[in-house]
Amino acid sequence: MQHQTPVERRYADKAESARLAQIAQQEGWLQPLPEVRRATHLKPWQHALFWGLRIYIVVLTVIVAWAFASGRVAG
Amino acid sequence: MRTSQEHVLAPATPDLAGLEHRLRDRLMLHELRSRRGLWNRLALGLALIGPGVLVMLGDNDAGGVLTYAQTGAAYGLGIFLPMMILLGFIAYLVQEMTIRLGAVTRRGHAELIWKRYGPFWGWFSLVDLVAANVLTLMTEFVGIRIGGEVLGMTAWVTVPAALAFIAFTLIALRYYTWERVALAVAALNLVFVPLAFMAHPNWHAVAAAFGGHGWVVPGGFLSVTFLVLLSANIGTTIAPWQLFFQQSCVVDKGVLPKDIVASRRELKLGIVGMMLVAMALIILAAQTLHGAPDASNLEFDAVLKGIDAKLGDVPMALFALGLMEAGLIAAIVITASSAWAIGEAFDIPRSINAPPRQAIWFYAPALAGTTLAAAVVLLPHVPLGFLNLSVQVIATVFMPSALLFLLLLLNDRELMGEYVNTPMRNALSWAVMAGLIVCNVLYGIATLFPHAFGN
Repeated sequence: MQHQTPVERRYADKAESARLAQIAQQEGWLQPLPEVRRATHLKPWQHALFWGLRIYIVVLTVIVAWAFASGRVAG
Repeated sequence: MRTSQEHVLAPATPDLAGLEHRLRDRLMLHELRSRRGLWNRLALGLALIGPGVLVMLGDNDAGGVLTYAQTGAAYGLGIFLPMMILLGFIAYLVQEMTIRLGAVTRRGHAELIWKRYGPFWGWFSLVDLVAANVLTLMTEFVGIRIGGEVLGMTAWVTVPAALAFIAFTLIALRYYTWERVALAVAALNLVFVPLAFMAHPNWHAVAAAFGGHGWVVPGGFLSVTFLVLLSANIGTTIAPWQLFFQQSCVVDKGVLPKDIVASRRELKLGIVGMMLVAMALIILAAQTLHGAPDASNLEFDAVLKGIDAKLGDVPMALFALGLMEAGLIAAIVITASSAWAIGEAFDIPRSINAPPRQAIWFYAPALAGTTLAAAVVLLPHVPLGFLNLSVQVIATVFMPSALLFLLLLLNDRELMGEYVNTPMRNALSWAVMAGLIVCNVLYGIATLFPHAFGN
């Protein structure tokens, strides 16, 4: 490993900073991300999906709870 | 003390935690892309490998090793061998969507669910994921414990050592180094491949299995044993944590839309590795365990004894080593998936590039869960069957929502722009999702009620 003088180190640091800043600029790393807004206007089929999911979760949770509570679970 | 670069490039805002390290990684890729020559191309290829390989080889976890062994023991060199190729396609279909979602939105799965669909579904997803992850981690530490005991190491050494390794790599290493270390551990997953050769299978029979020979299914394709093992294989190939892990890993690695093609390639590489290991385990078990009583319900001890009886000490030791590795790599990636999901849900600094003092609430909760899992496994008489059952039950409730949110988000033009699913991709994806959900429910019910289907 070559020994760098403090001046050479300072120039190397500045060169790397410049390259990093260039990448940050080119690829947009310093720009804020677009906001993700709550989906408020769901289509009818999406509403149906969410209701189906709610029903599925409730039914499965009841089945699981009953299976555990009644000792039917095979562990 | 913050350097001048940190002041310029990483102002103290949560979502820029660890930005300087990520920029260095991106600069390295940029420089490799600009250079010519075979070695630079190889270096670029290696640098691009990461989330896809980790998620698929991490998928061959301790529970997966057992499932494949049970499959080979129950059905020999039959239908499940070529089925691994089908499962590979399904895994690609699902996991590729997480690449696009992460690269385009630069946000993790938990964050998108929370922000797009509200806190109820956000909490539901987070609690399910963390609970399932902690339970799965227990099964991984059981694999590490059992594998270590075969190799003559007490659980009081192997389990804490594994925990320390997971914690050290996550906290002390920055993303790129963590990824390299995890990939090195994941590569050991391939130890099962030479084991298949050591079993001296009839390779003609192996090849014939891909052509339809030996597809004997006692009881038929609608028998409980077949359907349950089919569902178990599907469940071990696509698990909820994989969706969250790969998307967050893509984000933390800094993958952008221009990198999607490369990310797809490395996902395919991971899937090939996953399929090779799965097939190797099925072949190994077919040679050593086929015909064993209650083959589809074998436990680790029976698998190890069967390998020892038929092949000897060295293959058994190699299998034990592979089992430890399977548990360790899964524990590494599952811990990371918990950390990212918690960080995304509560909008805290959430990058493996972030130093602990900047992101303590990113590291601490996930490691607390992993520590809890390790501690439980050190208790005497760990109920492995109950743990496996609990993991599957939670997945049965959770998986449909995880898959449905994935598809909804990939069809959200406001988020994805030109990268939304094509109609063909949607047709395939919805069909696969429906099938996965049915299999998942079937497996859950069969697990809870073993006699529900008349067996």
